[in-house]
Amino acid sequence: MAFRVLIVDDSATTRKIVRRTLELARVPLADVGEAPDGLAALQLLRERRFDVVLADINMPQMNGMELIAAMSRDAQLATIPVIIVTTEGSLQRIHELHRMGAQGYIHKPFAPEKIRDIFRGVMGDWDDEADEGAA
Amino acid sequence: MKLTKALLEKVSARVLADTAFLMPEPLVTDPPPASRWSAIGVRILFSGPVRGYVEVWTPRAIARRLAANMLGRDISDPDVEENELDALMETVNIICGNLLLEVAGRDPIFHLGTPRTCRRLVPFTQRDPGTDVWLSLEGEALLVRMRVAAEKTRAA
Repeated sequence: MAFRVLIVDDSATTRKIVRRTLELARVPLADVGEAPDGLAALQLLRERRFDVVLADINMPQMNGMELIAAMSRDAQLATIPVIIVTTEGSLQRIHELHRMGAQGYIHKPFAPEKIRDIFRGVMGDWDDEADEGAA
Repeated sequence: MKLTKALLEKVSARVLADTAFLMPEPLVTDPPPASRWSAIGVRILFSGPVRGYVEVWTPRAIARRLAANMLGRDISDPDVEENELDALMETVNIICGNLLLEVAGRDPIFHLGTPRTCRRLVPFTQRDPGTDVWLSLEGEALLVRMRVAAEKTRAA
């Protein structure tokens, strides 16, 4: 099992860091897409198939919370899990994100092990050896 | 918890270590004079129960090192130079988010703005107070500053 992941963040550097951390965490990746904000993410989600979205909260055009809300209104996208990756850490915000439908929350800075654990919690377990063998 | 130099130093050092594997030390020499210091600065504004900003200033060489380590690339990689400012912005973003958690706890919601470059380093004064901490990183100075402005009024 390899995942098609969409990384949404207005910082190109942060998108690269998230991608690199996924690789360091040995998350099996079939495809990685990138979008600079929620609006661009929605467009990409309608053009390509993704298994999971990793999104920041603070972004121009459409922020991470608006993206979750827009995805939940779209029957095609409502089942795609969203994991929020952010520096914001208030409990109220985390509860709000979960209530809106976010399935995971990663607080920055994050280590590969942390991203791996949360990714596993949301996407389910995968067989490391099988994926290494396939690679 | 109140913002102190020690807290600013602790959080900044932790973020630099966790994001870029860099281990800063407190700067033991005199800070470089602002007028002659060739550094780039980035600022992020925050608002919530209190508002203010966090800034990070450092020479371009350290921003480049940050980008290289964050991206896992060699410092001579052209992609690193392209990402050095963005890496500094991500650093100030993470320092700010983590500082607010330490200072205000996990209850209040803060809104963090988009990091921007600063045009000049304006020293804090008694009328315009803030906390700053000088760190040393690979022989260069790095300045982290936080200003907490007036508390939001509860009116109307």
